Amino acid sequence: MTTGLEVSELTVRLSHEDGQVVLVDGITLGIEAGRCLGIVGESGCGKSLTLRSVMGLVPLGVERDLSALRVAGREVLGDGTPPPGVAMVFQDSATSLNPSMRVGSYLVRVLRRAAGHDARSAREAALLLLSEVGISHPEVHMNAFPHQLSGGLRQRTAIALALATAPAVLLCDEPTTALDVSTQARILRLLRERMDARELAMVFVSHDMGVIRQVADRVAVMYAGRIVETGSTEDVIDRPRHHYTRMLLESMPANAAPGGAFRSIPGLPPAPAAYVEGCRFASRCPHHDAGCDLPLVGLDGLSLEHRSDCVHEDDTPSREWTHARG
Amino acid sequence: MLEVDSLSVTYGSRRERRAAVPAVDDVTFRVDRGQIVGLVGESGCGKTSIARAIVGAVPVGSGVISLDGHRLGPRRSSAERRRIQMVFQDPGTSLDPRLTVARTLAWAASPGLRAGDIADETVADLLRQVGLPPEVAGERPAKLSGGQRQRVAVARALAAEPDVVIADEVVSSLDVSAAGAVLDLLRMISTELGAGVLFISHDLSVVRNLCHRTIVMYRGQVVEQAPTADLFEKPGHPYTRALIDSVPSVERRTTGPVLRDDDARADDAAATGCRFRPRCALATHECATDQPALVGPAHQVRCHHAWTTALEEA
Repeated sequence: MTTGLEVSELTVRLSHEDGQVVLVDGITLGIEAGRCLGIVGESGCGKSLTLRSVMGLVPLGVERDLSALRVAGREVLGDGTPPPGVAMVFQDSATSLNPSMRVGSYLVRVLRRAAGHDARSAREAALLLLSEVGISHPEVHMNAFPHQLSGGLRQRTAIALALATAPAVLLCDEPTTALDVSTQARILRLLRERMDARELAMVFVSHDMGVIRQVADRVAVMYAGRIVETGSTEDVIDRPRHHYTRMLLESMPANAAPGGAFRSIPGLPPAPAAYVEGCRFASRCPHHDAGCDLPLVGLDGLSLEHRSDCVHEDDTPSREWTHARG
Repeated sequence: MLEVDSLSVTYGSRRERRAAVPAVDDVTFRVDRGQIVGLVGESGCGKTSIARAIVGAVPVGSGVISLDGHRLGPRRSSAERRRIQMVFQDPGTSLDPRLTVARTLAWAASPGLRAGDIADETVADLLRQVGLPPEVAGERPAKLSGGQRQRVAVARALAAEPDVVIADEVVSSLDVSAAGAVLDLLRMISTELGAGVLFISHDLSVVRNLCHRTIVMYRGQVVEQAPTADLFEKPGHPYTRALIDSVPSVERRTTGPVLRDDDARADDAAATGCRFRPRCALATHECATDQPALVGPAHQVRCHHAWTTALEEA
């Protein structure tokens, strides 16, 4: 299997008058072509920032540092501009499309610039792309402005735009969070289909473990700027090794016992300025002890498929979160 | 208890209203004391319009909204308004950013009085009820996390000692780690304070574990209404089944058919007959000509083919 995307030792820092804070702390991730890596975590954990940094879309005052960035085996670590062969789909399709241009004109423009089409072939390619993303009347759709479309159709259009550059890697930043559940199900299905058909390497960021289950082959769980657990989707969700992953699963309303109390994780994630060398989840973890405060060596067992940086490896019960369900 | 009887809401000017499709069309339900009723459906189905009509924020087109048999009109006294409180989706915009938590709560507890006139115990009591530490009283919303803000919003609703709390997508903008605490609060409001809760959500997995009864809406109409356990075990309407199947399961990857896209042009064709027909796999000639009625005693369904599954048809 060929590698699609490799990101090594990505660190993202924010500089201000009093110094620097580290927002993303030296994470390494990768995914093969034709497979999907899900990144899951709470707001502020750095999951979207990770994705944007790969794309080179970091805000002013924020700097990214990485030792390698490879797309389809080729080193593309450049000057921080969007790397070739990588495309992105955003959460809010209403703002990621140009509101003053008809969908068709925008798509044609992207096709002419990025794929070197002439006007006629670009129009044909645009119609083809729109039907590829499941739009039933592409000719009519070409003439629409973004505000005339429903959220689902807008997100399909955004996916068509991303695919227009024939990317090897597709980055998805919560693309279904703003959609209705039924629309979400269709968009997730569409993304998987396109991934299979085009052998895309996909990275999908979400806060919802259910969505990750539907779309991802591998999962990285992020907490406070670090990846705390990674493995196949089945391993991480069915047999979580990190206490944070387990508590995140337990707190899903769907996993509450019928009529029983809803669970939540007490406390808040630490602010980036308060990130420590030891386990950053320790302050919210009921299994916290002195061992947790020692500096972490990182994810355990580099050769292992399913890795975690929790020092309480042995006492983490498996599948405990499913006990309540029939 | 809150009763909504044949409620319709139509937007637009008087002339526009004559031709417009109502946002809420002949909706009837009740929320008893101590009961949590779920209201679910896709965006645009009329869920929030119902909530706004109940609190008096939009005019009622036709129908009656009453509380303990007392009809609530378009102009309400402050005492009437205080009996129904609403909690909104985004606590970042629903709380006044300039006010400390203490002042927000004090004003809600006794409108018209200055913050200094309200006993600190009232504020401390409210914060205790929603599980926030007393130090929060001096903070402004910007200093709080999303989950804490939403708990302040719940405390503000409780300050008026309401009979009914309307919760409109209250956990949609929260992380799952914080959502549980807010949902437990809603349950506490119903069991310990005895208020009725109308819980509006697009997330069926939350409704399933929280609500006693569930109402499913489609295009302004109630299409199914039942005790929650019945609704999830034996959904009668094909739309309800599709919604339940669309919830992304954390247990397995789902592979079954997905609900068709809705198509505005096809909807115009559905001006007569069943509104769900253009997206329904079971639609027949009858569905195109006759609009189904909402039938049934405790478990009501609006469908000519209620409880028929595609498999049985084939």
